[in-house]
Amino acid sequence: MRHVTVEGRSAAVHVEEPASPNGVDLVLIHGAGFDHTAWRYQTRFLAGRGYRVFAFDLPGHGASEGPSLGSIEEMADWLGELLGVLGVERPVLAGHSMGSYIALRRAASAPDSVLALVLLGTTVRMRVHPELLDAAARRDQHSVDLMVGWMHTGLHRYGGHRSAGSWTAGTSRRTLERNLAALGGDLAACDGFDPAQPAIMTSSPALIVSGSADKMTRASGAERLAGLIDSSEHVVLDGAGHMAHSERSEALNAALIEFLSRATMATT
Amino acid sequence: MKPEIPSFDTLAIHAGAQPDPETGARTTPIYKSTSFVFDSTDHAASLFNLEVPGHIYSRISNPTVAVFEERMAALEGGSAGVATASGQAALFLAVATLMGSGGHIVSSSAIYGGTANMFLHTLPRFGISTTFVDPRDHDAIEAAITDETRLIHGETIGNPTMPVLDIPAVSEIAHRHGVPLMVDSTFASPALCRPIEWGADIVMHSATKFISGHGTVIGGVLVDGGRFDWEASGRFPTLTEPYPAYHDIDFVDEFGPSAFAARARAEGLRDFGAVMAADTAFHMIQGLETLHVRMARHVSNAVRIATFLEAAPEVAWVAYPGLDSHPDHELATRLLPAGSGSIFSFGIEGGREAGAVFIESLELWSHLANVGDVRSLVVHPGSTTHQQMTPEQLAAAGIGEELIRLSVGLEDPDDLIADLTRALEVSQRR
Repeated sequence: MRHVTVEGRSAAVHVEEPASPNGVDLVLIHGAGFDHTAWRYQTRFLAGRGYRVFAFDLPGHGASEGPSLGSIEEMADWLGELLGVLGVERPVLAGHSMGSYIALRRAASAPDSVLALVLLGTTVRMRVHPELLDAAARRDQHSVDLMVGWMHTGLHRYGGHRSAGSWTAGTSRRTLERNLAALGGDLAACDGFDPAQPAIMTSSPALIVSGSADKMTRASGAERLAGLIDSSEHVVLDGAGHMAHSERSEALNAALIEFLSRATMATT
Repeated sequence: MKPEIPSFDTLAIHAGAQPDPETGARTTPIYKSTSFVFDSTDHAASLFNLEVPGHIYSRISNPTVAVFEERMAALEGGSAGVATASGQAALFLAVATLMGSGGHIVSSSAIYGGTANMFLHTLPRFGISTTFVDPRDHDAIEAAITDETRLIHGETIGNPTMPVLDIPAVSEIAHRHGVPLMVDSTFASPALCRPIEWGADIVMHSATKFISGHGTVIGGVLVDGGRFDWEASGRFPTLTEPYPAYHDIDFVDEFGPSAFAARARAEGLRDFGAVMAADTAFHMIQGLETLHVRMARHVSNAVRIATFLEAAPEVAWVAYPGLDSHPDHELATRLLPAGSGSIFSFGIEGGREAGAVFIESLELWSHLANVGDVRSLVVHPGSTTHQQMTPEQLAAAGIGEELIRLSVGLEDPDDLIADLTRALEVSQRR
């Protein structure tokens, strides 16, 4: 884990250096209440295929110093600063849920700085249930319970993970609990952000990935978002919920590699 | 609004398992295969470098065992599970994952005799020392912690004198010193107590007992609670510093809440090899599917029998946290609201001699060194499970010569009481 200073505060960045670099940098942006460990099944895999991978903790999450940021716009600006500090010039940005909005906003505000976008577990408008917003604002454990129940659906509600012994609902629970102080602000930021304008402005090629059983960001909403982005494609993973990057990592990774090999070849 | 989270009873049957994608088999098959075919050389390299999840070799992971491990993590409310060849293997795996030579353990003195042996006689050969303390003496627990302490260990319900560990209080002490609390919850099972919910960081079981439930297989399991901050503690380089055996992987950075379980598997199962067999895991999974139903009956039978013994003139005392007379009854009611299990001890009038006559006069109860079976079991710890301990150590653990331990099974309690009544009467003849 590297620690760098961004806007005067310490930020934690997990960096995976590839043994045989292909020259493409990939930046992974976690969702509300999570941290870089959410990308556990992508970081080493993608580095093994030549990408230099950066998975960081947003301010107030994981090992990054707080406080957390209050809006998607602030998070996207902070990301720009972080990339400057890291010397990452034109990466692929991959964001999950809230992270997808951060990536989209960054791509719209600095189009020449983004090679391609991957938007996972996203939708045309991320309205958050008022009870969840309220509980998270109070840092109440109920918000974690609601999130865990809604995130782990479909084929994987009862687990059956390929990584022996891993109970992904339990891993999500512990990560959300650790980042509970930031969750309320994260969810409010998602709720208050309208991705339509940045989506229309985006010229980067974009892969949108949904889980067919995702109850938090439904595939139908992602399809509408895809309709706003010129060069986008939408893939639906059968049976996956909101946490496809952990629960259906092999299917997601296959879709990522297929997209990245085309998108980065066309634009580099 | 009620969170959409499956209940314990549902998880006991479904967690970790899906219908077999190839055959449609609904129950988890026994994958009796040492090794698993790679799709390609790239796939093989990815598996070995922890880039993709999957099975390589059954000493590290196996599909049948994995279902049991994940189900245990779900039932205990943790992040990941690691199954082992026995409860003792689980205990050693936890210790070896957390510390090396120079490490120190603070342990409850009221523990299984095998655990006491390992801590007292075996681990010192590897440079690991243990301080034993009365689990009810929280000041003594705190005073025993040193700069080298890497683990505090206790049992949910102590063995064999049944003190209940005040998990919230002891975990608070442990965390104040940057040390994790591991709880051996064998006597409770997750159906009666989930120590992680009360502050424990690691739960271990001899799954041989209530989890398998039928006295057929030997096994153990560790569950990573996922909450302990290894980085902030600064005492655990095995989890927070680069590990050269996997290209300098940093387990906390890589695995977050499952760092302990990941290291235990990647190093401990790989190098020590005390792994659970697939056949055994199949029995464990079947045991878990009825755990909640069995434990309710174990508890109701135990309450009946403890109440009977407490009133019997041949019995000097009964130590069962489910009875008002037990000093930890109030704590047990809080931490184990569905009951205090079915293992308890009592003192027979007439001491060792009467105890021997009593045990040999029983017909339905089996005299053997195990607990947590559907069959009712009886043992005299002073001459069996705890025989390696000195008189002083036995006294410290509260084990007198008159102590008899029962593990109440699932037979009709009237039949069990009839057998006890007759054997008690015989034991007092002179």
